Amino acid sequence: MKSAYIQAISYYLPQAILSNEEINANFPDWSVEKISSKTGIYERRIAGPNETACDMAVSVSEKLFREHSIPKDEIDFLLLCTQSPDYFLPTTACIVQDQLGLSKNIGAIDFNLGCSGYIYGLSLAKAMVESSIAKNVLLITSETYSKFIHPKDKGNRTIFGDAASASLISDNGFAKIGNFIFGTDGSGWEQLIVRNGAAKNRQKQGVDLYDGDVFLKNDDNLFMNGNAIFNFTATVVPELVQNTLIANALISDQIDTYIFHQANKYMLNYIRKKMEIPEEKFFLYLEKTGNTVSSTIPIALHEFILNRIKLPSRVLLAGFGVGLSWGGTVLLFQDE
Amino acid sequence: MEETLFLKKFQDQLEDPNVEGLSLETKFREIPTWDSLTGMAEQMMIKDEFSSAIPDIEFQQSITIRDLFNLMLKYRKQS
Repeated sequence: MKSAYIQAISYYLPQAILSNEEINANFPDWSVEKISSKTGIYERRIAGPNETACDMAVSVSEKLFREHSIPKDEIDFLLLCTQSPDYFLPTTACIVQDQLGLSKNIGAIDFNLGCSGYIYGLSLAKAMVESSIAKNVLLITSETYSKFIHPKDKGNRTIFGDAASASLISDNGFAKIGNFIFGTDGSGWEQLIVRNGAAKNRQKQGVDLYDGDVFLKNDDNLFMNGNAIFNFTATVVPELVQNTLIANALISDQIDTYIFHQANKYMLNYIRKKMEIPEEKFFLYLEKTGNTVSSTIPIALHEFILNRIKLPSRVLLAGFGVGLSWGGTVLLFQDE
Repeated sequence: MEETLFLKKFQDQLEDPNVEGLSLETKFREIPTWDSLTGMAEQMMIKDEFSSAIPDIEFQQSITIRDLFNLMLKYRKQS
């Protein structure tokens, strides 16, 4: 039976940097040291005023083709994970197909997921390759949350950054994609949301809400209930990891490295300690990117592979967040 | 004994677990490294370690570690 592999990964960061110093200048009570010690983030990139998720998707795909010498006419399916589409319609992936000059004989779809998006994208790509629906799937994640965030929203401005990633999924590559576990809890839909602007609340007429001097929210902008998301993550992720291990007939000792969605360092370390994962097995990469939503896992994976001396055997990936949605899988780096 | 255990678990969640002079009478928001993330972690710890889900509003209204201990007792699931 055919197997699916990750053959190549590239990522793209916009040019503009939002530093901790600049955040501190806007929010003097939030010191530079506290920002980095709590979140693990030193800087995050912000898409240009006219730079969209579609633009970043095109840029990162061209980078992938260039860096890995991939002939673009070999791509026969395009998956684009984004919650920042250029338009309600048409499908942004169709525009990406055109701007990349890909064959017109391919499929191209958007799918709307955030922090779990890369995991779901891998599962879709794997299914396509293993069922011979497609041979070379271009899986893109691209997000511009910065365009949703209110300038007075200290927390979200600190945490989120913009980025895009591109992965080639095919029937050969450096990492075989294992089995998946998924989860969804739509009752948490309000915990991470941009409430206004789409079909449910078409008019943008949000009002700034404050608690004293502290900005709380505006329904035209991104809102995250930090407490609820922390609670959700700490509750769901340990079980997700356990179920992912079972689905892949593995035990925790057999995992070389865990790469989770890079939400923020404090929360990730809380989960790591709760799950008793040794620090040396727990890969973090968000210092220079922040939380880039669906791009955090591919970016971290790319950096992990680049900087490790010895390739791992098994890497467990876990994505979790907005929806609420979660998913996990294992990558197998040797013949298994 | 349970008070001692609660205090130890609370202290373990702090960014600097070596903070001195911590007691159940400590006003926890005055701990130098305290912030909202620490609060979330403590609330989660109480839920995980003591099977007690303290409602957000009551957690936010608490002042001392003893207040949290008493809420833990109040909301602890009976086995």
